[in-house]
Amino acid sequence: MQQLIDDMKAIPGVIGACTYRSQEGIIDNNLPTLFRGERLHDTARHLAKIHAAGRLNFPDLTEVLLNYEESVVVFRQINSDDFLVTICDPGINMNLLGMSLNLAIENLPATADSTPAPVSPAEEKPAARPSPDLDKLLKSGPMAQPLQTMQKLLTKVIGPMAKIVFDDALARWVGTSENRKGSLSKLLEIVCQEIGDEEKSREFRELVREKMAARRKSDA
Amino acid sequence: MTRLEVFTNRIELIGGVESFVLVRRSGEVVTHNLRNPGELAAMVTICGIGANAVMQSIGFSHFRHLTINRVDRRSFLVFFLDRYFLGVQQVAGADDGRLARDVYDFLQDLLSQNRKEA
Repeated sequence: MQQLIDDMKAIPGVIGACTYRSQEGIIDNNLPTLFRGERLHDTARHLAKIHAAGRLNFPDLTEVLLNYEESVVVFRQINSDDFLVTICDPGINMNLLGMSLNLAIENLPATADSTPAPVSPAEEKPAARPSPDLDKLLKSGPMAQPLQTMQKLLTKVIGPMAKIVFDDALARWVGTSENRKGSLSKLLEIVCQEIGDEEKSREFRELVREKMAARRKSDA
Repeated sequence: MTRLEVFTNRIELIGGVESFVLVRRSGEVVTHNLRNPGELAAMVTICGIGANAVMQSIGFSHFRHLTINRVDRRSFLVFFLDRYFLGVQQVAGADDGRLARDVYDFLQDLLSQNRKEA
């Protein structure tokens, strides 16, 4: 993967690149220090979410390009687990970049699951959907009620994509906590990170706190 | 003719636009010319919010557009329009660079007109 990002950086107009694996974060990186650390990890996470949403509608999706005033960000799947993030000057020759990306990815050493090609809807990994365990957690047991309440409050704040955002947050929370009522504040923090909008995060936090306070009062 | 009708007429006149959907940041559909806008509207909202989050996390100043490239060369583009996101389906074979510029310029015109009228 290091060779891949070094090849990318050699293309005129490419500022740098990194590889991202959803479970592990940034793997290799040759971007300038400005793009490093937690910010780059957050960026890749948001890009992966955009990519997953795009894939649900367009199974033949090849890449996502984000055009900003200062740079173009290209996000492309390398194999079933890995993604390549390339940051370029806005004036880059897109044909040259596209061809170079194709060649660089084709030349990667073959692995068992090196299938960057689009998948059909039937084969698609249900990455944005909760696993059966998460479903169970949401529907029965001691955590079901507070989790459902949080999901409803999230829908009030961000609308129809609340389910996708909440499922992602829930999957992260299950992976990092003991799924106890006491660790709900951790889930709240993860959901706020997933929302990615300060004002909406604040609104969601307030709604959850109000609801929790009301529940504590009625329990007392 | 309402503003929304003017918007619809003008966006449909841009060369390379096959269909479009305009959504609020909450995901609510404002106007469209699709048969079933629901799923695309949700995707446009997630893309718009994600593009904004990337802009904030890296520190870029201004988002122009997002392009989803596909094997069949029918790209799908997402733009910001004030409190809305606009998703545009490209006609197969159209020049996506030109389409992006034309839609972006149209939206900038709209925004500057609104500012003048405010």
